[in-house]
Amino acid sequence: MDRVSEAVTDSVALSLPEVSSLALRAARGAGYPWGLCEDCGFAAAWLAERGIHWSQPLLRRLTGPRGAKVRPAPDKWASDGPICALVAGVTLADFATLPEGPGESGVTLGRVLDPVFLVPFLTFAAERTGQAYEGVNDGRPWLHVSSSGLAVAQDVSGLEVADVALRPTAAIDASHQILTPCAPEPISNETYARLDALALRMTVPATAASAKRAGASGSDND
Amino acid sequence: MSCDPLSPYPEAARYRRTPDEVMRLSRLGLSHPTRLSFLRVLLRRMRDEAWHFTRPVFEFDARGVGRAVYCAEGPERTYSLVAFGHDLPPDARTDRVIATAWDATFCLFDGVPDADDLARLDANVPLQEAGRVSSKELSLSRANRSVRLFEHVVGALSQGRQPDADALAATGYLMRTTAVYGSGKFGAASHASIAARPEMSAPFQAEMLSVWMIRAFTVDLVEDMARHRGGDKAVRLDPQLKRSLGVGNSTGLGMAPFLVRHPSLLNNWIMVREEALARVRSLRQAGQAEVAAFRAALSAAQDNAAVWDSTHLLQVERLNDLRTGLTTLENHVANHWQPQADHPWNALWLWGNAHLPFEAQEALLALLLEPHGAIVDDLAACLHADEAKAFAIDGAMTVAEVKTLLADHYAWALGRDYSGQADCARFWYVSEDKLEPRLGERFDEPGGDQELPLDIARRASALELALRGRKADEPIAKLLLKAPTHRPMVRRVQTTKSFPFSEIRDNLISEDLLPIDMLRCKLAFFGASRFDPRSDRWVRISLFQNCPYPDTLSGDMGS
Repeated sequence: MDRVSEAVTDSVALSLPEVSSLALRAARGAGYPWGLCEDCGFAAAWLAERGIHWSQPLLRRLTGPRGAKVRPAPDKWASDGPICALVAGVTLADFATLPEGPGESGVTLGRVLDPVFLVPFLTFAAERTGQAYEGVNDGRPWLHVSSSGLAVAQDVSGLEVADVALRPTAAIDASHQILTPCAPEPISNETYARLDALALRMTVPATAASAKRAGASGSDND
Repeated sequence: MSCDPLSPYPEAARYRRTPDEVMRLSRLGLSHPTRLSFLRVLLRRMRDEAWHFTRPVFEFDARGVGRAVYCAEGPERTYSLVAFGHDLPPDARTDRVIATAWDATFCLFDGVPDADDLARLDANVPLQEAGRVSSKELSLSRANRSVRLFEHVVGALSQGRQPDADALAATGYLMRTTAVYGSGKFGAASHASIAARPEMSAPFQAEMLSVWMIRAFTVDLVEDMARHRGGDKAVRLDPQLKRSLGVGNSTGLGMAPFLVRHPSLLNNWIMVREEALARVRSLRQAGQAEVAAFRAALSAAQDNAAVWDSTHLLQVERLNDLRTGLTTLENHVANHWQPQADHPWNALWLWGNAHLPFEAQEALLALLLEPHGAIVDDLAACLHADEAKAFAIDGAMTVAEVKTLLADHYAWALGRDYSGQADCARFWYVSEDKLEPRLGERFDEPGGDQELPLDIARRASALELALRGRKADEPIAKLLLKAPTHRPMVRRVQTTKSFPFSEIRDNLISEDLLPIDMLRCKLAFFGASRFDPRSDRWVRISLFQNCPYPDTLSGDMGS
């Protein structure tokens, strides 16, 4: 169970739009292509809204290894090493109803870095296929996703890498807790500062010319 | 638009304008406020639901330093404007986003603030971007005085006389807001978290409510300062002069990318307006009351155009087009238009399209909606959008389908040379100092490597090139796996399938781009009047001029 519960001091409470914007800008600052940055912003806000830790896994994802190239294939994806959860997530959603996707029989993804970032995209896949899925790591279920609910069974946010297989399932295990939308919990100032530093890399310093064009010349004392 | 299948006016469909006609900046940049503009939607709801307004806190000294609380009580909830007045030296007064001090700062509180809330807000709201608000707050804003008018009004009232009417008309406001932040900014509640409330479901209702109560505050403040200065001699502002005042607003590039980043929302705004026009055009007959109301609206529009002033060359030309166009329209309505003929409103619209400049055509659109609240006001319920629904990409869509959508909705962008200066002269970026969108000159300035993905035309063209040679039945997911750089554009192209008015059909990085056209489009939907560009990138406008105040809302507006 990964609900944020500990008391956080020295922290900042971000709104969901701020979470989304920070994650998008940080991903761009870390060098991800715009296409994945939009999905990164969406995924971070999606996790935050459900009380799932998003900031540390995001920081790991943006500063750690990028992951191997993803080669989707029916039943079992191929790669030359652990794959990035963001890339795997959007690929999973894009291929949801195609033979390479989870479809009606499931798919094995292999080793996935920061697998919590798979979760939002698996919900897209579940909505497209109308199928509920169970995520399995080393034979143990850790995730249940359907178009109507979500249950996370262990500290998936702390999981830096996991063997991930997705299997169709019929019902949510009663021991799992459905996560409903809630206000995002605060994140530590340190994590915020590191993500913000990444985000600043996609900005451009103002010049005198740009300030003048934006209206800096002249008095506003009308 | 999701409301379409439920439309009680199915015959209106054949009177709709096409996206190719509407979504060009040459028309969007000439948009006029209508009765479906967001501030009009707010005022109608508050009037119809008989909202109750109070001012439980109002404590200011002779300099205007202090605080106030204004409460707006609706059927289910109360919203409170918390206002702080400051003593700002003239050399610190700037409208730009880099400012760090203002004459007044505000937030819209969700409920009625208690002493602890006020203490927390007192410590944060005056700091604006440097402070933090919470999910109890729905907006954060600030305003500066119009120095000459503000002092003139306080001085006159303190001496027991009314201020000069011409001076009031020339400026039109006592204070102008320099930013009104909403949805989730600086810790405030997100729009999504309040969108289920009927009074907040239409776009920017919290922001509009803030500005409307700020307008009441500006008048209360000058009257209070006049009392401090003049004692028993002081008088209150004449109600007619008071009504003529709005709230000024300075707006820069920051709001332009909004229209690009929220395609399904833009679609619904435009679609609502276009459906409203189509409904009016589809009417077989014109009622006498509607004809009289149209004539009155035309006369009011001419009065507004006469006092609408600007020194910006382009806007001067446009104002000339508006004034001469409205005169031409007046003559036609008086001497040639036949309101008893079949489909008279459509006849008037078609005549306008043949004889009026674009500026006056778009004004005519607003005038045609004005007498027809009974058949168009319900469309306000369709202004919102569930943007999350449009986010997921359909990876199973075939290359052929994507190509068809590109051909149908992006023909204007394809086949152009985006390597030459003319079509890629500019780039959009985020400024390091205030994290605000800016527009750079690609061939003269650094920063192009940090370009924002607002180069829609170029991206559409690149996607079309990338699709060439791919199998028609191949799912688009395969291209996206190979080239994720196309994800934003594929998402937009797929959005146009359900939202045909979602895209501005012009190149937003061309050397000809006028960002003020994007600003005017958005501001017209807000309900802004007196659009006055100060450059091609920032403008001043007025909100709520000639609208009722909290104490005169009941029975007012004529709408």
